[in-house]
Amino acid sequence: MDCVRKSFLRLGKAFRTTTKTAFVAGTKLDDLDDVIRGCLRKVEKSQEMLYKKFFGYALSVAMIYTNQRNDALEVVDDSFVKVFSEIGKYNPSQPFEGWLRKIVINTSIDYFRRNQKRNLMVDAETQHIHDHSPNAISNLTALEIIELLNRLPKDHKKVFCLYEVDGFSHVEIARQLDISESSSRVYLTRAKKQLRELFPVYFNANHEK
Amino acid sequence: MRNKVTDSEITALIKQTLDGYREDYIQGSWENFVQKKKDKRRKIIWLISSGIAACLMIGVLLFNPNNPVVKNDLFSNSQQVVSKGNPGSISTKKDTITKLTAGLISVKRISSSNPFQPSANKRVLSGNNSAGTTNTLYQPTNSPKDSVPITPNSKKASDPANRKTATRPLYFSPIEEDRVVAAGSKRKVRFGINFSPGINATQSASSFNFSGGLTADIPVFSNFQFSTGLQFENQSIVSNGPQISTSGPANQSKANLMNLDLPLNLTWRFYPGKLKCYYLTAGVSSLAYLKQDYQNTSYSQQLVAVSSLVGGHEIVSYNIVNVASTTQNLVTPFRTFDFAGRLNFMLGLEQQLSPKLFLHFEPYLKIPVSGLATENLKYISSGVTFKISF
Repeated sequence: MDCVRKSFLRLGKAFRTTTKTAFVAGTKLDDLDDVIRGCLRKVEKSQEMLYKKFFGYALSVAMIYTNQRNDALEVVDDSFVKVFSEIGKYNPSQPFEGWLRKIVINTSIDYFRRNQKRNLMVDAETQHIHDHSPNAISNLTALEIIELLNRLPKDHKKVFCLYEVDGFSHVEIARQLDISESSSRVYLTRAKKQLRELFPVYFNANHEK
Repeated sequence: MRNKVTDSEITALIKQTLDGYREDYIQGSWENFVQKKKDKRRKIIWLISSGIAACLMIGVLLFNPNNPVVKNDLFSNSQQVVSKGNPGSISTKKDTITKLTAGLISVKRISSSNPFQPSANKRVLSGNNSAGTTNTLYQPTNSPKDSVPITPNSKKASDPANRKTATRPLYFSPIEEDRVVAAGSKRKVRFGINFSPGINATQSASSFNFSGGLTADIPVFSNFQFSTGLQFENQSIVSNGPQISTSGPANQSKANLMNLDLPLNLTWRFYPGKLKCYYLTAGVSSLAYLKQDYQNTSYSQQLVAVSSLVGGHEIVSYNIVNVASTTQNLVTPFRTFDFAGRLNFMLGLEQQLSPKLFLHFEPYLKIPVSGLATENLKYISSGVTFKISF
């Protein structure tokens, strides 16, 4: 009896979820499809809509993988150039955000590689993000975490974010960053160790302020 | 074990926080993005066009056919055929003046059945690899009135156009002679080095500029040639703003620019002569900026209190003082590119210094099509270009 009741409950939950998804798809995805179709035809208005719609999302991803807001903004622009030129390759059955995220991550890695020499010259002290946008207060915790991640060596940070935040495997990370799998594992362990040390110190210091 | 727990806690916290983290749209980002795309496109166009120009110049330099050079020296009444390579394998054609009667010069092209037929006048010009023939062809006769015999400068009378004519009477008046020679001197690409001092004029002020660089003149068709090259320009542009008060100086904007200029001009030689040649040139210039330094000086008037002691009393008087404040804006190199941003007009005089060296004087006028550089400057450049071409 209990088993039957549980099955009914599960069925009802599944029905509610399906209906909700369909509703969301009906209202939002159709708009996005139109926008993407416009982007395929290189309609500037559609490109503008897509850019404005996903700018915030792309910037938040880029912020995780870069160390400065200006770099993040450049990564976002470079990513959208790729998005508009490669939009024909986008599979509409997949979520657009996932595809965009992948592009932003790849662009960030390319950007990092391109500016590796310059990055070596940057003093560790200048790597802090000083964000004075009105949104900074609402995203304070996220920005604090980004600031904490920025204190890690760049390779360690990249491996940590790719593995823990975006769920890449060590094989994929090794391919992406052009390092060996073992290096990826070592970087991850070291990143976690550093975070363990930095976490209490950093947050105590910040919250005392 | 404890470490693992802490790690997973930290990781979970980071993941959870970053999952919900979303930035807002920054106003003006789309406009910046569009501008950046335009700049990138312009840069690509500039690179491609400069690449094409460079390829043209290199191509012409490298692949200029170095075929046997045929020289007709009519003054010494002889013809020399100079050829590189093994004399035995040379197959050559001789241009021979066959008739020269009563002021009539006929040029006939004949093929020698045996170019190495022994001749009393044959002489070796340069070692084993060169062979030459010298035929006495010219016998002075009575020239008609107002016609002049061909002079040493008439070397180029062996122009293909002339050679093709089977029998053509040629009367040369002095002017005609000049023109014929100049037409005959039309040849491969001519390169040049130039220097141009000039003046940049805005609506309110003027300043000095200079430029220099390399040029290439490529003949297109009769009396027309395509002129390109690469110029380096150093310009200062001064513009005075409206005067706020009668006693104070006007605001001033000064821009120091260093840029590369890629001109694409068409030249029309409207009076081609032997020693002098006049021509008109018009075209467009694309500009890439290496350095842009803008200084804006604005003046404001302030009241300054000056206190003085008179008879033990402090008297405060107020003076009006002009206070200047300067802001400087440096733009990164190659940030701006003006494709076909300027119209060029030139009137040129070409003076022959030696058979292969020419001196040019070109008064020029350069008018912007739209605002130039980052701050949309509008100024007219004028001056004189001194050029040596070879």
